[in-house]
Amino acid sequence: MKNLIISIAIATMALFAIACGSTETEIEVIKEIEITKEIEVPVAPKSLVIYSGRKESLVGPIITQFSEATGIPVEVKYGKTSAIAATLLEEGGKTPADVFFAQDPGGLGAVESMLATLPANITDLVPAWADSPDRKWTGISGRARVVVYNTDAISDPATQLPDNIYDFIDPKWKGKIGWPPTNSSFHAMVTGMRQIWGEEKTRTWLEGIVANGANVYAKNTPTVEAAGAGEIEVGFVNHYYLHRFIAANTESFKARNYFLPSGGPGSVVLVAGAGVLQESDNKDGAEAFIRFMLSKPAQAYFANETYEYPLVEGVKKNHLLPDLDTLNLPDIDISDLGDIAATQKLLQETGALP
Amino acid sequence: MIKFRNININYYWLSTLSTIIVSAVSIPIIYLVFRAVNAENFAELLFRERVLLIIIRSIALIVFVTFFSVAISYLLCHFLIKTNVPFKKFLTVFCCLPIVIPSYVYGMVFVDLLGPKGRIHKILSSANITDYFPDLYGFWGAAIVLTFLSYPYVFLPLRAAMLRLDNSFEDASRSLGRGRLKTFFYISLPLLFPAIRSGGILVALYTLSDFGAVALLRYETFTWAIMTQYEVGFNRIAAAILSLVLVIIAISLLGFDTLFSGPKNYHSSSSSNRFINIDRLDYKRWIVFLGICIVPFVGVIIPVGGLLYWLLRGLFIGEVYSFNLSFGTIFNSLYVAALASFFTLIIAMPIAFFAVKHKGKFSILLEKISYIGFGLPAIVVALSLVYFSINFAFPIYQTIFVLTFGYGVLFLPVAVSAIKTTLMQVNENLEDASRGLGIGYWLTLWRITIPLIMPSILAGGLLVFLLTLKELPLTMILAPLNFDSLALKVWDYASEAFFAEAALPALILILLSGPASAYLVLKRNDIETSN
Repeated sequence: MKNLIISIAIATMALFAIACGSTETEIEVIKEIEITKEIEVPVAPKSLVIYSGRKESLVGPIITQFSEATGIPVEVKYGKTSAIAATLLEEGGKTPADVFFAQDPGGLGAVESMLATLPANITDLVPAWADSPDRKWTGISGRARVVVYNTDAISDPATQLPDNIYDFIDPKWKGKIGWPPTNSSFHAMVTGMRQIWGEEKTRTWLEGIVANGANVYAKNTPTVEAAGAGEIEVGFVNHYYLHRFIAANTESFKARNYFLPSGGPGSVVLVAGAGVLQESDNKDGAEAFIRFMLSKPAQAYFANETYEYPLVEGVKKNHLLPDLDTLNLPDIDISDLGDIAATQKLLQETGALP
Repeated sequence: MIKFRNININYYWLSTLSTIIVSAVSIPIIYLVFRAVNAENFAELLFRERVLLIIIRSIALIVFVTFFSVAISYLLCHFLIKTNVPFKKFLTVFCCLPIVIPSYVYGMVFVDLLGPKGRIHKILSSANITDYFPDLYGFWGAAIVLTFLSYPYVFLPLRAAMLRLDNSFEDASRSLGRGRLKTFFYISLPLLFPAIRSGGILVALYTLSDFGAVALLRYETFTWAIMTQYEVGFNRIAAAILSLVLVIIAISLLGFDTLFSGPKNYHSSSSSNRFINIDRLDYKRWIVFLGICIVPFVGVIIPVGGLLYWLLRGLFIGEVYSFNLSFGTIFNSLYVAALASFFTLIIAMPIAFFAVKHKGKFSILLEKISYIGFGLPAIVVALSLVYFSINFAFPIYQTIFVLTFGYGVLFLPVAVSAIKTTLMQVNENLEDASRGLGIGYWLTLWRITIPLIMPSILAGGLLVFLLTLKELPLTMILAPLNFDSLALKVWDYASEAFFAEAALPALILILLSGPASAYLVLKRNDIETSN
């Protein structure tokens, strides 16, 4: 019995020693990070809860890098941007989320009342058009609206395709167009149309495209796929899906992107963005996350791995993409593109949506 | 006198338990009403020509899919049971496999292969066979995909019922001069009706609530319209109002179902003839074999083949991004599916027992309400549970408990119907004998009834297991943080056009489901009612 007690005591002491030892080493490691990375990290960083409307396959690696570089442990919930926005609205003030990383401004706009104001030194990192004017969220990466076309049907896009997206209402495009009318980037584009063209012209355009019998796809990927298969000749999508189809199918994939040269709403550049929840008890961690996503390595990651446009100055875009400067961007504020209630009504009235 | 009181007490317990369970799984309906009463533009949203049109479209799809699921299942069961078709067991297992294929996966593969200008069309036209290819988008595509994915809901109970069928009725009918067709309509069909009905209602509700297939095949249904409210307008209130319409459609379907009340509980006498007369076909059995093969070919080989093509293309031609797949992910999928099926069985049993053993208006009402969750889009169920658990059960929010409960709400009717159909056929004389020997009500249940229906309980549990494995929208919303599953992986990769990366977890998902479905078919189907 005595032996047992003694051995337990020794074991306990040994455990203590190990435990103390490990605490010491941990502190050393943290100090090291503080010196080398020059990021302020509390002694025991609180775990950061990220709701990500962007897929793990795209942003998983960069979120891991953030966690490793800062030592802040992360807990992530991945899902569709719309489903996550709806979840946040149901959770209300009790939400466990610290950051919402969304696929599009519409998702961020839907929960704007739940977002805290970001410090100006974060939003100043991106151009003024790429964040919300009251600093509720900031863009992280850019994606351009393009016309994806089938290379068998359209051999010379510069002459065969119109300069402006408006001209696709010409009856000669009947049966040749595809679009994803439930997709939020598409809605942002239509909202842009309402701002640039006005309600009437937008209505005419939508009615014209519906009259041309546009094929309705569930989202961007099937639209690009249909263009590659020759099911449609042109589709209205975001630019970056094409690059993954080419990666999966090799160069033989028969679709390419066409950046409309005359500008206008057909070539608007949208953003994926992030905001910090008002009720977050870890705002420092949340802001560190957004700062990290706007750091040069993260921006380079988006440029090279996801084929998106970096938003921070001094980071090179992917060589496969044309310069943002040459895109002839329309002069609209992206945050206004989050206002989609009227757009939805218009889409319903013109028969583009049920 | 004593007996009378006992029955009352048992009734009281069962009804209380069932009421509690049904109230708990009605949370989504309560939530929808709560959301909808805040609406201002109720009428503006609801009373539109478009809404009516979409209701009609949904109902057309439901009628088609349910009818053909029943027809296909009947033919399959008939030929697989009553003829000497070769490779019977193999075919039977194959015929129930489509149930494991997620509709969003099938939808994608279907478009890739069979869409206009899809791969098959390209092959046909480049080989100069034909330039014509039917446009399968819209109603026909959605109807085909949903029929071939959901007919096993009818096939499984129908097959069990047919194996159990007392042939002496058919024999008597035939020997009294009724023809094959008349015997079928007057004898076989009524006897098989409970099984057809319980499977048919599941098919109808599944079709009503499916989003993956109808979205990809571009057929606008009511669920599609609800999803649009969430995706386009982030409009929970409009979505709630439309979902309530969906609840009404589901209730109508369930009410419509009670019209066919069919025969009362029936069971075989001890002198039943369950020796099945097998039609010995000559060379024709090979024709039947090929005919049967079409069904699993469309339901299993096409989607699996399409996935394999994606995977191999990615591995050998294109570049594979990364197979970020761990055993943890696979384990998570299996773990929650097992948990969900266990939980669902536990809450299904009181409802099934109450509905069968105390058949009455109240018990039927409770049973019907328990079906509604299966007819709602899973996102509605998930959001209602987000709202309830974060406000009233915060400590378990984003834990495996809420997730499991959510699966229970969705899949309860699958388990209830599996248990109920068999329970109706348990010979009550056995239970009466047990009670006559002084063994109490609950002990009789435990010792006699439950062992008798055990195969069906297991079958119900396995069905829930398979459905949970492939479930997506609810998992996405209710899963704990950092949770990962095969279905989530498939969706994540596929929606970003990483086809090879999506194909691998999808194939693993189907592979894992294989043994479970083999069990569903090869289990002992008989309940020993005699001696």
